[in-house]
Amino acid sequence: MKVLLVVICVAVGGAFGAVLRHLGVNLMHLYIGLPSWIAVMIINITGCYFIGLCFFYLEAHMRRNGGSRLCEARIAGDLNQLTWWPDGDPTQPAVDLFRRSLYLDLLSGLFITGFMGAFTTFSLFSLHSLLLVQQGQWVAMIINALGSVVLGFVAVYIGLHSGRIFIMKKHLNNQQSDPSQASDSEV
Amino acid sequence: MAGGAIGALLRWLVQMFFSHWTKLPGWTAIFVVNVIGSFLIGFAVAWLTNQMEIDRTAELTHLAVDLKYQRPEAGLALFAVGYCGAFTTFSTFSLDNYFLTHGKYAQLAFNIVGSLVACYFAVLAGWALGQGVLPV
Repeated sequence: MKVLLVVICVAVGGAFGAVLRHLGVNLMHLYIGLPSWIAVMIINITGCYFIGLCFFYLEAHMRRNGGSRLCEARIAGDLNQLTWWPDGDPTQPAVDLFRRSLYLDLLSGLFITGFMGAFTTFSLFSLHSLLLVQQGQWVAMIINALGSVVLGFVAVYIGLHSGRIFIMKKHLNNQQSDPSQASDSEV
Repeated sequence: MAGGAIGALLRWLVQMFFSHWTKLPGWTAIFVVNVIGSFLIGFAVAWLTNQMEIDRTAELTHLAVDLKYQRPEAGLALFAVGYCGAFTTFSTFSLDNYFLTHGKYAQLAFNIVGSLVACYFAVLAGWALGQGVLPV
């Protein structure tokens, strides 16, 4: 049942991601007049930013079994002080754990694997590299290859860190507005 | 849209296969998916543009009694843009690169250089094959 739900989420996300990418590339290529390799590059970098943001948001809010890949990341050090940090808390109720892991699978299937994965594309990127080489535009091909990889990496980094900033700000606001909540829950 | 859904599903299946049945790190799934998708898009674009040109010459020479190849443009949109575009992914590739910077530099370099070179040659091979295959 869970697998079926995840399959539906991935398929729906993939369909919308692919259509949005097609529309975005067509818009930038036909109506603004950018070369299509720049359009694909912009789409890829935008998708990289949003996958960083989505990944951070979902892992930080939903993951409660301590298996997150964020735990290996350098930004984990700043987050240990926050109460919601995924540390595999044994006092977590089993129902809550189950519900959160189900939501995590569904939402990451919908947004990360489905939507963002279909929105960005590697095949058009390598096809454009080939076409640029065939047309003899070596400079554009090198800009395409290096620029996509480097800017995509930077975009993921910025996405993860902006997710961290949003969540820390929210956490600080919660602390300031309602300082008694933490002590209440401990009692 | 249908192509995008099927492509995303197949990518998810390959990821699940790699994470459950093999002990390879997660980025290898994306690597394999990207190489296969690049090969397919090269093949599809070369083959379908070939077919489109043949159709056009047939129309021009009034030989197109019965168009055997119905709408290769639709095939291009469905297969190349939808299926291959959704099957391969750049965002997960970059996310994996980010997590590989935490100490796994050899795998990081292999992932980046390997993906670029392997996908380039996969497109090249697909392109050559697509142009070589005659649409009978």
